Amino acid sequence: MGSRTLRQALLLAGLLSPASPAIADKLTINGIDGGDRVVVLVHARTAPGAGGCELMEATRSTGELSLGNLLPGCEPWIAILSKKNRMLLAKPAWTDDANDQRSVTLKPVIDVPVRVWIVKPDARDEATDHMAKANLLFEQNRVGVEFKPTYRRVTGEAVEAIEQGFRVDDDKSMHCQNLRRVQQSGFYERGALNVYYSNNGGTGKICAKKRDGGDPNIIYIGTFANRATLAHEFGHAFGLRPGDEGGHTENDPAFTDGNIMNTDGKGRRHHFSAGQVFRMNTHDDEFNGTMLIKNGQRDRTGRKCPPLKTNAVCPPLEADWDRP
Amino acid sequence: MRLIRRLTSASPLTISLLLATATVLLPSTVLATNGAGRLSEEEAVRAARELARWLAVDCEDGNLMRVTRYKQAIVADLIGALEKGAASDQLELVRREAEASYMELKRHRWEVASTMDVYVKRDVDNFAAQYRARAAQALAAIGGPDARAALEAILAKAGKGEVQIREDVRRAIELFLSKAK
Repeated sequence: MGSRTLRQALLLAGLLSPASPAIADKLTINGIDGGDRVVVLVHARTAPGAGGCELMEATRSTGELSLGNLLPGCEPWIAILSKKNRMLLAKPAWTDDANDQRSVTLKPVIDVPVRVWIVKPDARDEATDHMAKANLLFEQNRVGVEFKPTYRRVTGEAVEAIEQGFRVDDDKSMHCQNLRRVQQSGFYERGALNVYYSNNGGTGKICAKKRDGGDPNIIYIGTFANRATLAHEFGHAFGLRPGDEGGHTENDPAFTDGNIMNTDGKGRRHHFSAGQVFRMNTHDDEFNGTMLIKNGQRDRTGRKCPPLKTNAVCPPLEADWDRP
Repeated sequence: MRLIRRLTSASPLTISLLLATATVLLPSTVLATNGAGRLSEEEAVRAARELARWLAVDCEDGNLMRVTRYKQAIVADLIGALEKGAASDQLELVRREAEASYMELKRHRWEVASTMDVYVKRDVDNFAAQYRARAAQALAAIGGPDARAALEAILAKAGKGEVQIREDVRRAIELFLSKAK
């Protein structure tokens, strides 16, 4: 309490800037791999009274961060996004004391098993290239995961069962169907992302919708896919869906056509916002949420944050940090 | 309709510029019409934008309806897209971007299986294939005698070798035709 009084006195006397790190709550981030300047999102009470709770502007850090005097209350949380570590979500308690010291330790990046099933002949190299692109994009955007693929050729009767799972419906749109046959084809692994390189014309499709059988672990890549299609579908698998409820970004002026969840089809897509990265790591709801939680790669401390929901525990989808 | 044609063949980089001036360029005599009535200038510009977007759309979830709602008003432009395919400047842009992407991947540790030539050609060819297939898909969804005739004609031309269409695109067009209204 004494330090707070001192801080107030110094502020009143004009001897201390409000942002001065001299007296401030501090966050120490341990275990940053690769010398990254991690991205830190902080939601906390920064001022007393109504309106005092806020998501602070995203900041960068190499390990030590001054946060000003964060106050108690407001369901405080911190998310740390790193290139070489998994996203950390912590709920530190702050006090009235302006010298709170908090420390967190980042864990290694999450290895995400991906089973790539090659139906289309000669698609192995294409799949490898798409996976490389997805890994690069997810690293650059600090999602905190690394895709670990295995590749296997689909043979026998399973070919037909799998190809029938991704068809043009009577409304002329591509839909997933008969997913049980796909799941029982012998070319499917429960608890992993299953990607099928199909002979069918089309770009990419995640089979998450209930009308399609509802399995976000099934992704089809058609013969028209571009190099960013797989990364886009992984975004859907990690909870950025449905497309028309914020999973796609082309109708939101806060996003450019460089966003990976833009449907405009360009291979040039390269960007996830911090709000998207946050959801890919935390979104958990009755529609399966992110497969990182559903498949057991993250613990169930997620929160119900579909793309368009913003509140004290869900940052805006467009929340971001200054690039690079 | 002339404006819509220009937009569908324009480089993505020029589309926004064209759209910005669309209301000035679009004379009332070329406004698209259909059986359901005439599109206003504003609707025609919006239709052009949706059409250009659709032909390059990656994840189609919910997007088909956004273009087929213009019904017969955009059929002529879809037929043009089906017959002519993607414009050379669009393909050149895809090529340049794919080259840059390949070089970026090589600078990082991620395993790339293809040579740059293969990597780039795949993206360019797939974009061209997708462009025609999306046109066929929308035509099938809108339906009508002109749309059906166009789908049948492109298949016939492909059969005679008068137009080069990739096998998966031909199969897609056949499939869409079989489901056309």
